[in-house]
Amino acid sequence: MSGDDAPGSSLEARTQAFLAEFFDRGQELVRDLIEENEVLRGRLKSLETERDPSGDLVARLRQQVTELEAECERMRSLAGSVEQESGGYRQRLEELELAHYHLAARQVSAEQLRRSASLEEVIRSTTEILLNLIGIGRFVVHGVDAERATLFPLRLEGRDRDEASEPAELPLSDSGPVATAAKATARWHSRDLSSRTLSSTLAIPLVSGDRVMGVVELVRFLPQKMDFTDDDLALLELISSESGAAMDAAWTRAHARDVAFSRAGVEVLLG
Amino acid sequence: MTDGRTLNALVVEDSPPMRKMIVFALSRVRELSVVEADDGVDALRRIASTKFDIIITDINMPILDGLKLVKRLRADEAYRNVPIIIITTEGAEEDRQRALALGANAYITKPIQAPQVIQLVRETLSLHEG
Repeated sequence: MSGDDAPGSSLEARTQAFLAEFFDRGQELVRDLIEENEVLRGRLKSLETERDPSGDLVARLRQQVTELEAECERMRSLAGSVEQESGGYRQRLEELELAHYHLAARQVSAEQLRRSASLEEVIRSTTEILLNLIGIGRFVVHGVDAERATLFPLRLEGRDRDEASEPAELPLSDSGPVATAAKATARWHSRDLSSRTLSSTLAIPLVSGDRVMGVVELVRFLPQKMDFTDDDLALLELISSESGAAMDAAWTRAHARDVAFSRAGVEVLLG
Repeated sequence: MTDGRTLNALVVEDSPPMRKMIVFALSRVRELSVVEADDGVDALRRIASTKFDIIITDINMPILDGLKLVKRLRADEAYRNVPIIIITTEGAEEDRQRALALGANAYITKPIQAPQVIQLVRETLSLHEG
């Protein structure tokens, strides 16, 4: 029996082998987590690009608001100096002020959706825009469960007093407007609208790239609202793309695991 | 009514996009300096340190809603006569009457239009357009 085979040495060798394996596995785990985080980070980045391939939507809207603001200011000063003149400048100023307000509504909505980091925040922001800025009194936000091929309710706004139960799940095979919207291949566009009233359900897909994350089912307006304006339709188009992308980003973010920044991890990444 | 003085307006609204749009509309009224509050409790906190000349509030808010806020303000000697405008999704006549009975001066339903808000604030504060 050699000295290496002594019981004490053997135990030490086994312990060292165990520790080596333990650290190897740990490093492997760190490497896997870093790789997974990289994939998720890449996915988040591509989501940002998919959302607005032609540049930053919010920045462009902000620029337009600033330009319109400058024109309003110019018109305001002209209108002030020609107080006696009826119509003309004053009317133009009022039109500009209104356009300015609606553009700002789009900018504020886009910013609010992009700032929504969790799924709950995205749904709340979408609800606030639909209810407060457009005037939809009753609507359902559905999520798409691709694996189960169903739509499930995420939020019902405008519940009737005697209404107790949640809306039911809906199979994607359904032939109604909500399931049909869930099969959309692009964001909703106002040219798809047949009527400016809500005489029948209007279903808006919430799109992220080529994926439909959910559908907003618009059922009825607030009592004081009669029909959609052009600005409402622009906000619905924005919701169709921005809410969907925000839902996708929030979902991805919720599934990203936190990995501590470490030398070992960095060395693995750098080879 | 201003005598050249800037008037303080408080906007009480829990929905950030809606609050921003009300503030945006009010930014057209040059005589106003606008402060924002997230809900009724936040409004009371701000009222404790600033005297406001007009209050524009939502009804449906967590913790302390707009109607309770109106009631609290009307019980306060300093705010007994300060104009209060209600902005809410409720369109029913009974809600309007309830708000006015509690002491609100005017009532606008959402979705708001900027000119409508500006005009109402100007009328309420007897401000001339300019």
